[in-house]
Amino acid sequence: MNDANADRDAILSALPSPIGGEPPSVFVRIRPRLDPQSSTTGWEAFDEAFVGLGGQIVPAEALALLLRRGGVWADDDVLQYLPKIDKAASVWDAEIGVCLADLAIAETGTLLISAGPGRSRMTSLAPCVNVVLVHEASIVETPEDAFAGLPKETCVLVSGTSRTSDIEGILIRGVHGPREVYLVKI
Amino acid sequence: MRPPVEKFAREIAPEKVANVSSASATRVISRIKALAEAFEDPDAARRHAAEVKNYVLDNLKDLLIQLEAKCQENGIRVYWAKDGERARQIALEICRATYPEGGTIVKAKSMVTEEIHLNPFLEENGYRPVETDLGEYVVQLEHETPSHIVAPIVHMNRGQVANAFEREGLGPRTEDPVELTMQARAKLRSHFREAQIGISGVNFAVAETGRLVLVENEGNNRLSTTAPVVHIAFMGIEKILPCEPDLALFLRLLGCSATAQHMTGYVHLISGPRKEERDGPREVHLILLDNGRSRILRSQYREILRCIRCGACQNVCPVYRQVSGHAYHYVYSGPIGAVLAPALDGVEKMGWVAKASSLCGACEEVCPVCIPIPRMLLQIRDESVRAGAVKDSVPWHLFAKAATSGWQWRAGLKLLPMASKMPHPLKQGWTEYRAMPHRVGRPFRSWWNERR
Repeated sequence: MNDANADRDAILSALPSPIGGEPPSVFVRIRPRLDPQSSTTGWEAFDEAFVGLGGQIVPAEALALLLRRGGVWADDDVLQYLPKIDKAASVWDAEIGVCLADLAIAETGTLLISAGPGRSRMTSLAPCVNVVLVHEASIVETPEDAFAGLPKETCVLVSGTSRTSDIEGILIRGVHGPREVYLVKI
Repeated sequence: MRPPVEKFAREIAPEKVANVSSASATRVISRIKALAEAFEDPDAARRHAAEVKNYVLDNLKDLLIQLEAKCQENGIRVYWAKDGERARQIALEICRATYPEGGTIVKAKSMVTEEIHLNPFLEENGYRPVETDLGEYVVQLEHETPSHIVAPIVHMNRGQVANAFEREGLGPRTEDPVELTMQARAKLRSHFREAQIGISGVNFAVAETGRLVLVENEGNNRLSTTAPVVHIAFMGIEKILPCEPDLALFLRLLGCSATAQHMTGYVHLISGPRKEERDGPREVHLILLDNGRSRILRSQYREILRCIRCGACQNVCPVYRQVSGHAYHYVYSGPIGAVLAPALDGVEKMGWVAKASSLCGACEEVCPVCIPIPRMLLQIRDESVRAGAVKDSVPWHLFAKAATSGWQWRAGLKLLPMASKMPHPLKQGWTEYRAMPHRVGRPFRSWWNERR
């Protein structure tokens, strides 16, 4: 498209010459210690933040019971951890989506889920219930730690359930994505 | 003659003002709490973010070229559009290639597509764009425009949403916000399943890795950019960040400033179309839009390009709270809109919106990237008057003449005790709501002359 190249040239020539130099160093954040007594770290902090966002933590033994609620859409790499499941015809028809998180971020209760072979980007999105498995060792303290080395694939940071407060500022869970998010540590 | 914003404010329904001011007040308080929990020194974080954005603006040309190359490496097709017309044409060509016969397009909330009036254009060309953010969906059903950058229906209440959903046949009438949300969910699901094209904006684009970052809470943005075969992303050329570690700071500032969240519900980091995974779009198109931004970059308003569209300045603005976003008659409203509108469309057309401010400075105080909005509003006012786009009323014009001439001013002061007893056009705006203060004591000048 010649027109497109013309626009590229027009925009670039309208921009001032770059000044150059190094970008400002990455911001080193100091966390406030509002209440030193209650400051937690690691899984303890994660659990607190995750539950605060509407998530629920369930033991691995409860998985079978949880998955009995309806059709399941599971990514390939979690199948080894699951009991026998009632497989849904498609991710749209599934009641429950099960996937593996690459990483948990303690401070914000966030889960990092990446795309990859045998995984669906929709697993953590389309079903009403999202069950996320995460390895006990896959935890970092802050988002800063996570952003220092993100996976190269398309990924998503999930902090709690899908939600909206568009109507009169009232918080409602489960708009377009999952209404319930469960975490199982493995 | 009253300024247009004031005229609008007089006609606005009291209900609408109540909706806007209560919602904004809540957001102002929760924002402060969130920032204090996230940073030991929130102001240091804001200043650092401003520095990063300054670097981006200083080196925009290089960073855009880098972003283009990295996106292409990731399999994202990149287009450049100097204005809205070109951007719409590029989008139409992509749509025609996917859907020659027309069809449904799911849209994630995006201010930049509002800026270029994409929806009416797609409709004229036989497509059916469906807004999928709950607030934007209601706006679309009501044929309105969003009245806030982050909360598009902040001016409405549940009854109005219920009316719209009932009229559109989404389900039995209900005013329960949960029920209303579930009705919208069910309806929009069908659109997500049928649409072949999804359109979104971009919150940040990382030059170093060619990754597009989209933030949201509902999940409609992820669905719009994941379920359809084709994803078209629109992005203002200023939305770049140099590298991924910068995201931590900006996502925190955006989350805290916009919705008082430490991390927005979903942060989608898009590295291109489907690769080895089982789903995701086959094509990702990125349209880089200038539409006046390169001109603003060379003007005295360049710092406005640091904006990350959080809406904090709207929530805190005493004028915005009283008049709502629609008073600004522009896609961007509030203090940010009062600068962006004239900066993008010229003071001749939009200079008047800069008058909709008390210059209290609250917008600059809350801005996550420290944009000196009050200074810019003064510059726009100055430019507007010089360009003849905004005219002072006759009394103010006479006042300005007198106040800038020594003898006229002194003579005026002598007459003041008398004048304060007479009706005066200058007093109108004041005395309509308040009593005129009585003069007590004597003029400062005579007091000063004695003490000196």
